[in-house]
Amino acid sequence: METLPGQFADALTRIEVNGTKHARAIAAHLEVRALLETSGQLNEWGVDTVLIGSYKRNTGIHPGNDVDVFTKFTKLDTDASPAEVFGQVCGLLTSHYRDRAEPQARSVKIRFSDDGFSVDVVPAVRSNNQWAIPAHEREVWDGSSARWVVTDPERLSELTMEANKKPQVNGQGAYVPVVKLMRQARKHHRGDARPRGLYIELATYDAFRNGMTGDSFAELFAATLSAVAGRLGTVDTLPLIDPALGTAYQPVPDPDDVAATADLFSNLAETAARALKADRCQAAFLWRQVMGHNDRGAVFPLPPGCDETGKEVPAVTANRGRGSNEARGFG
Amino acid sequence: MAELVTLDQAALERFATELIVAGFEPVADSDRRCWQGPISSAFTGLTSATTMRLLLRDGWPFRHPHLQVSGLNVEHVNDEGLVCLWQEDDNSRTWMYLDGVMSRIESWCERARVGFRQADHALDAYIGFTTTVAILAEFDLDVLKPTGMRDGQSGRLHGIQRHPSLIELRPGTGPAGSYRGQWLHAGEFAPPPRNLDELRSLLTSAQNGGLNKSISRVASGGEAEVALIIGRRHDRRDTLVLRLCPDEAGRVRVESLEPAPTDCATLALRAGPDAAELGTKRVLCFGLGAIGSHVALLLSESGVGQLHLVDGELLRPGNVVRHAAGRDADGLPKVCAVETAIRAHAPWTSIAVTNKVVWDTPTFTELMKGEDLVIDTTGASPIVEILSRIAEQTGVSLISASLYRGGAVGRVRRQLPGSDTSIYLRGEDERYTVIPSGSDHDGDLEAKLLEPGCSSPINNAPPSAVAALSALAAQVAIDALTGRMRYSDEVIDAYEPLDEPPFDRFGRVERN
Repeated sequence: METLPGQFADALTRIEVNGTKHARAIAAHLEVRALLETSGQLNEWGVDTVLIGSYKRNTGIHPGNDVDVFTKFTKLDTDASPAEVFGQVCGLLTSHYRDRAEPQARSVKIRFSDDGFSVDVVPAVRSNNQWAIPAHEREVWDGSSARWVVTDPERLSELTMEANKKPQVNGQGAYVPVVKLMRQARKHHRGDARPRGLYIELATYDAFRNGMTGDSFAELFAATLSAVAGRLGTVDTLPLIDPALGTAYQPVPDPDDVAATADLFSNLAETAARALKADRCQAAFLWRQVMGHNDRGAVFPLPPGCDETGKEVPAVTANRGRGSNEARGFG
Repeated sequence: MAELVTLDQAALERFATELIVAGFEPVADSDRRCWQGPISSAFTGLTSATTMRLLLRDGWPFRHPHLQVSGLNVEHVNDEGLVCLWQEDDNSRTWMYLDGVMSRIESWCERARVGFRQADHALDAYIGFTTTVAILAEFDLDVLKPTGMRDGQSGRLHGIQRHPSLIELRPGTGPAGSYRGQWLHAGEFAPPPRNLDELRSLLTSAQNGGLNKSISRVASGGEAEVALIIGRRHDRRDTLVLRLCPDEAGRVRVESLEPAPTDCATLALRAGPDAAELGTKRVLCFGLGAIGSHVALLLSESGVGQLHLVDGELLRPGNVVRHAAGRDADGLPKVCAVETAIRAHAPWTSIAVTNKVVWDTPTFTELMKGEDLVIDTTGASPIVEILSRIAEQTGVSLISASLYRGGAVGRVRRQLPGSDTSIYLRGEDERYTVIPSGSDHDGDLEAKLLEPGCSSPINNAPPSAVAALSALAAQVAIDALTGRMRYSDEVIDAYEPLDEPPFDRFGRVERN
């Protein structure tokens, strides 16, 4: 079986979020936190921020432009008015960042650079042992019991770390890398269509929780594609569970979108199965089809001596021995 | 911009992965040809830039990438910050790996600090003002200012557009339709100016005044003007030619033209290492046909100071297929056709011509008087016999070159007074290999080929054989003129194997 470990490692590198963006995410978070702490009202509400989302779980993929800052108000609970809480946060951010701050349905997006890097600030209040964020629909913010939606992003981060302990590939937790590969495959083939990356991440979590075996990323990824394809085929009768909350994932995606995604992963699983049986160059050709590309190029790099059609070609090597000292031709 | 297409996509993707690991990302809309990342620490102190760009070019990995760094004010960087790390023909391909690029950057930065080497000037083929146009600007500084130029001086010149990609700069004011212009001698050029501000800092106030007037004329609706800036760089003369053009917005666009000096010293840089010594030599050439024209041209290009060309024939259209002259010389005496070609290639060679067929001994003797070398390329054995005997009598060196057997074999014979056996004596000398006449097709073929209306038989020797023998004859001649004598007195090459040994294999035929 040709598992192309070097190419999988490089593929993971090629979908990794740029290291400087991680640093920018941390810096942006600290900047926003410092700003929020300047407000007497927010301090009175017990403001405390934490980085959440795929950045926190390390399941984000390139370009990784969206950073979520979970803004917890430790002294507020769901008796508080979402409109008032959101209004305070939004007012502070928009007055400071002006046109760089753009209010969303229940968060405020702050643009940090022209390359698309931005931070989403989401306010949250206590809800028993968990947290609650304003409902997406603002019309329910006044009085309705549905004005807050329970969430627990920090718990999901803990579960992700737990899931990444085994199985392992060469001493490295396999779960998080496979989530990234799954998110990349979805992103390439489905683009902005729903369900998005988090849903696929949860489906992958579900697949790993039910047991996933393999000694290589190639085997684990192929098995996950197959498992997720099967799981998506049953979500209409057996909803996908948000493991942090232990309840069905909300909002429930459109069944047609889920069916289309299930078909996609089923096809990709077949391609992956063929790749496992193919020779080196042909396997790379098939994995390239599964993972597609991003703005850095094809995600799955070709092994040395292979071309883009899956054929063997002579590799070009550096001429280090002679260096720049070889006699120059003249013509 | 189209995506890079390479003969080794796997290598390109591996290199891209290395770039990503190092924090580089493709620049938007560059189709992954341009990657931006953190600047190498080697640039510390040379620029305050925090990023650098690698530009992958067509031909990768056989062609090196360019590096772009802003804020560098050192040599070998153009106005756009393009740094050329390798010579264009470098074959190391060390740029296939990021460590190769980084290592080269470190070497480059070190040289930028301590001073570039003379050899590093080869890195600069594209350096200059940002806007470079593919137009040559020809000039001869000695013609522009025959009494020599000094720092701070300036003068008028004009530019004649010879064709779309050539402007000839000449002294003084030009005719209507020519470019108005000026030359400015600026002094030290290290680093060379890359924009008008840097140029102005090198000029005197008077020179700046002249340049500003030129710019003002163009800006106020005048015609484009040219400026030739002369300076010194590492004790060598350096030049910059600018064309000041009005643009649609009423501003002045500064274009850098490619300086193309035409003085003999510059042209002689390509004449080979013996040019200076050959400049004192006189050579008499008998026969200016296919081989003779090329030999004469090669000798002049190599630096020979004086050539006397002797031939009595006119150049026919059919001759030019293998001749150094082209169809524009049809009907000229061959000596004149070759003289024209030599003047166009090697202006340092003075030429005398004798346009007649010579058979009489006194004329031969008179022509050979004072010559350092006589070269026979007539292909006529009677002439060789005569020349050999007179050369022996007069103590003049002789070289005779000819093709045989339809160009299958070439022979260069040398007769140096006092050392080499005289050519006319070699027929009976067993040390010298006889080239057999052949019996059937090649000899007959030569005899049968006749041009309509012409009585001379045509030898159908291929142009490649003519070129090969011409080069060999010129090399043997230069070997003799410089006194090195590394060739033997008779050199035979087989360009096409014959049936008879020792001509039955390619290459040099050893003497008996």
